[in-house]
Amino acid sequence: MSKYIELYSKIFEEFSVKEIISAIFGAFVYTSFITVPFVIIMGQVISVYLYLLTYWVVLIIIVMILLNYVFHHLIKQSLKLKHPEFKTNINPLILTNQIIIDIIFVIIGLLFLFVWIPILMV
Amino acid sequence: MKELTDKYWPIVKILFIPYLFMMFLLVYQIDYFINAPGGITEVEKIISIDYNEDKTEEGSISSTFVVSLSRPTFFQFLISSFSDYNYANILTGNSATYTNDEQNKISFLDKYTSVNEAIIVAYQKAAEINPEIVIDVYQKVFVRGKAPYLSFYDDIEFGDEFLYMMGDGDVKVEDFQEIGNYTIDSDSYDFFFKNNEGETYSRTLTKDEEEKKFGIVLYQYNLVNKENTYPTYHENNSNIGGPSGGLLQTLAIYNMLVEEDITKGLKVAGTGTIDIFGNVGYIGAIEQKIITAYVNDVDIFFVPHKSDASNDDYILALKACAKHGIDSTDWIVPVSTFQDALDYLEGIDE
Repeated sequence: MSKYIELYSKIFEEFSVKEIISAIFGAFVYTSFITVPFVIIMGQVISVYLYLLTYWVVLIIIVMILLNYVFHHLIKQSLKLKHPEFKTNINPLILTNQIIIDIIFVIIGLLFLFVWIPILMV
Repeated sequence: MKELTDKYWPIVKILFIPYLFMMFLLVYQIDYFINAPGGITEVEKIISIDYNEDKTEEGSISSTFVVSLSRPTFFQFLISSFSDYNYANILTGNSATYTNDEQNKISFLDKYTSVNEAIIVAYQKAAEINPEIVIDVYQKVFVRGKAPYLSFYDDIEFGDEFLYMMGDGDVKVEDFQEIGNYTIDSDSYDFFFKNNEGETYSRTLTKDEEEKKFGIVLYQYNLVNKENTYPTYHENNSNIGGPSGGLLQTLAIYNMLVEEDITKGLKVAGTGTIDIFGNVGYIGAIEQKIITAYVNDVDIFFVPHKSDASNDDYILALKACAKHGIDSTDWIVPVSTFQDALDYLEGIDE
């Protein structure tokens, strides 16, 4: 935990808040270019193959984890491009954030499978 | 943002046209419809009755629904063709003239009236063995169809109640079947309706010059008067429309009213509309319903059977089973009335 906080403080020492927000925004925009069609495609695939819904939800969870990886990878890339001289290894920080968000995706997916879908399919 | 754009701009440029093309496939709708397998819904999740609450049911009674997509996108149409379970064709008839929203409204009107008819039939049947059960029925006339030439098309909604119209000689016509006899002298008449919010409104409808009709389709439905009905029942909100669950709703409601468990521990499903006399009616997309029931491991599947014609649902169901290699023996049960289904379930040895 202390290493995690230490890495955060190093980033905030090196980059301004504006630069960090710009990196996150850029990563979000580029990830959205992939996410938006993916969401539409999955919605349409589910509508045609509803009887395989359980499999689709599992697939969506996996793809959301991959998109989360892309998002964090782009944040890292953006920060590196802003300050090429920044040598601190921020991978542990990125990975920790990624895992936290992945866990949230899995929980939401499981809630869909076992709670919301049975309620909606009435 | 700028750094990422500089780095990835060459890739963005290459992918821009394919990306736009893909988005076009995802949003462009075509005048087709797709029927695809859906799922099964236990009726007790939709309707509950304040009666026999200690009774435990070992099996279940479920209605079957399919996915009916009107005007799918090109992408949906494309991926649908990969499965032998799906059926796609060009929109014709009313489906071609109604918007998706209008079709939804009709579908939910059908569901609402179907549930009412199911309750009536089940209560009447249960009342034969238990005089404590009472059902009171009344009739209402609803707007079920609209032709494109209907005057005030957007003002009159599907499901609005027809109250009366002022016919020739200023006669107040309340029986919708008499409208033709009182609309001879003129082309325009005042019609009175009640909308979903309970507001009464009138519109002057004019006959189409070519068709010589007003362009409105009115249906009379049998509804339950809840105040004079015992035991009380509750309907939960449902996301699934259409009247095809009528037979199974009737069976499930009947099962809630009687002491014995007619499911005999089996997973019972099926399809078919129900009328107030307990007759089972045809439904669409029987092939997709068979597949839905099959993938959901249903023990018994009731199918409407009224004749040996090639378009009879039971005949179509047998063809669907043969096509997909499903053994229909002791699984698909043909029925023409609610009583047939009841007799079949009662004849099963526990």
